[in-house]
Amino acid sequence: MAGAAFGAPRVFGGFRVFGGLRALRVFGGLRAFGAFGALWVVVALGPADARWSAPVELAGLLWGVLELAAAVGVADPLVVAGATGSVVPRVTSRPPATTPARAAPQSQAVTTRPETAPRSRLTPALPVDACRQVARVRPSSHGCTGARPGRPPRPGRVGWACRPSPTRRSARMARVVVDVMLKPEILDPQGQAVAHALPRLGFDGVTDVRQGKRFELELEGDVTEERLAQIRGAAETLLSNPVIEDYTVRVDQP
Amino acid sequence: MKVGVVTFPGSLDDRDAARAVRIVGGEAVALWHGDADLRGVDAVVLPGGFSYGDYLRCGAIARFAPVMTAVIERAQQGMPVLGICNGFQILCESHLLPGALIRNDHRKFLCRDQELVVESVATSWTSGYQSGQHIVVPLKNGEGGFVASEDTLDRIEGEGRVVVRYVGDNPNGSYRAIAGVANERGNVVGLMPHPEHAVEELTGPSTDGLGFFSSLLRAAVNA
Repeated sequence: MAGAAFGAPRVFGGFRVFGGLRALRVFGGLRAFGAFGALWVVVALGPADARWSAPVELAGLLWGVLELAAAVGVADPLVVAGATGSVVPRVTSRPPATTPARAAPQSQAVTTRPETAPRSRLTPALPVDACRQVARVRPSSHGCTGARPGRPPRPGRVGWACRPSPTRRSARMARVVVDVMLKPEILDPQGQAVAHALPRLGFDGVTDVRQGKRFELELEGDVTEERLAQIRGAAETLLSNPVIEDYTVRVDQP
Repeated sequence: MKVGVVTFPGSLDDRDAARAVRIVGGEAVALWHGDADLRGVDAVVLPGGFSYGDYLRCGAIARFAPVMTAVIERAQQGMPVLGICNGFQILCESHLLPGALIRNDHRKFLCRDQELVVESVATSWTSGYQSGQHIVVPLKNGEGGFVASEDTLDRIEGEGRVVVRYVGDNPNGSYRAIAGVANERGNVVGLMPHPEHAVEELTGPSTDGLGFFSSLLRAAVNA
């Protein structure tokens, strides 16, 4: 293989390296693909260099053996490598022998990108509930932990594709309601308009209508007397104008 | 004399107010609602409009704008402040002036030339008028009904703090036809009609509104 810059063994071995690394989803899907894909292109298509070719060919050979073993069900290269989360159906990680007409490494690379795999092919392997114990599932397909059937999920793991949602609601939410009404001596033109409209619609017997405002304040955590005092301050300062309005504060959901 | 005109999000008449200041020989200084700095002005005009979309209550949110902290502080020290329309609502929400403004009793927006009688000339902004003088200035608002408790109304009437009153039909249901009031000291005045729209024959029904701005400058010259 000396002097063969584009020799078949080199390309084949490099492909093995790349194909195996592709499966190492611990490195993070697309980003790892980009980094190792670029590395492989440099190694496989670059000028012949004895310093590089030996380890590349050795690693490629090793991965080739592992892939072959996986194909016949003896071992799984992911398990051997220590990777935990494979969600890529095995068919997409087959050696190029399954697609002989598309032996070009680049085209194979596209077919093995997990992010481009249709979600329907991945969904059965995704333990969605286990994932949601940790965080909200990202809308794209991802390598969340415990994806392999028969393997227990690792709920403590938070990777780039599986992180806590910042919008997650706290378990403790309380609601305080502030009702604001015009003082009795203040004219209420809107209430009068409603009062005049009711008989026109056949709702009789209403002698007066006063219209007010209702504010619902969602609080995180428990409602304490101190926080209620703060809310009363807000009600008196901003939510109502004490010159013309009265307010009441009540806890709706303690 | 430097007169600041505050622009809030939703202010409409800030340019007219600044123009009125310039017509009587003052220097108009544009103030921004987000700046607590009053830029060394000697007086402030809060112009008309719909600050913050009139959300919550008219003037309720503008009252907490950074510039208002400085305006309230200086007003309490005696700096002249004039609130027109929305500015009047802001001054009431700031509790610099008594009472509050609510929706017109007929529930419609009203825009017309309104006759007023000047009842108090003991303020920074009306000293150039004569007591009992009738003036005509535009009135345009949807929430111009001045309301207050009976006690408050009696008190401000007794203290001569009703600055201008509507003449003829009450245009918006204001209690006791009050169109504008002042604070105890007379340096803070608010009114619903728009004197800044009545400063030139070409565009206003009269030039009666000039008196509000010329009063301020004349008082400064005489002081």
